[in-house]
Amino acid sequence: MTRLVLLVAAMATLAACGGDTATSPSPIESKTMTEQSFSGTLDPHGQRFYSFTATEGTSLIVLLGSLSTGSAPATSVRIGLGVGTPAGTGCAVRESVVTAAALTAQLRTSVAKGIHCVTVYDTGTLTESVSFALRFSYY
Amino acid sequence: MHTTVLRTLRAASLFAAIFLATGCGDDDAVTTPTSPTQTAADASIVDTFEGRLPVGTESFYSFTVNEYGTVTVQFESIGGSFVPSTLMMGIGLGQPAGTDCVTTTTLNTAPGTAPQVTGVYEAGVYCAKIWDLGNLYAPADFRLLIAHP
Repeated sequence: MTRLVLLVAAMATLAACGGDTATSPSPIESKTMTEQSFSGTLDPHGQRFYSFTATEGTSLIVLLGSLSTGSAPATSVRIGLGVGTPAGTGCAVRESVVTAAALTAQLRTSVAKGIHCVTVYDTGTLTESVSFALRFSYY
Repeated sequence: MHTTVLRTLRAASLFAAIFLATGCGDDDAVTTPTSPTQTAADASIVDTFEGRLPVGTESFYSFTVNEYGTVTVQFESIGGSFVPSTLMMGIGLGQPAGTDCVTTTTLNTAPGTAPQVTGVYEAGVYCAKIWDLGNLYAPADFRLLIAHP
């Protein structure tokens, strides 16, 4: 009798744990890559930046695809390309490279959830304004 | 017999109570009770945003709110040649997006000695913006004070 009562109590207790109902496996969450472009004119000693929001920590790829003066490609021109946080009237750069335009990612980094900026800036070598076009992507 | 059953039932109840008290397994972490209301931190950092605004343009300033708290923006002064010191301008608070500051709170106001815009915000990056409402006939020198945690 004693054993029976204990057994019933144990079974009832285990059953009370609840919440452990079998569930079907949830589908794998697919993430969509966000790709944005930013173009404009960079003046000597100038900086231009573009702010974006990462909804979660993610990798970021930045590609400076084009630099030109007038209608001619400025292949020998190198400018600063960076990633940071909007601060004051600019973008406070956290990571950067000095690069010419190319059809390859010049900057790969990771960013936390929040608002960030990509920026182009003159490192002191520009003698005239250049047109730039960059693309960046993140999940 | 009756006494034995009572003892057994008592033991069974005790066993069940101990088992339930030690948890069913999923809730393995002890959680600290959270405060039902969040207290807004004071605006202890003051940023000065000043510059020259050409006719028909706007300008913005980004800043980081380090914790949930009060943010205020005071349009303190405006001046320059042909610019009255009581001129109304647009000011606002928002978040940087693209090449702009997308405002969520805006106000058309003249300069004053107290903050014209006040709000409570989560930690994050925000921006204060000033723009010409169409009243400017010459570039204006402006000064905004932005206070935040």
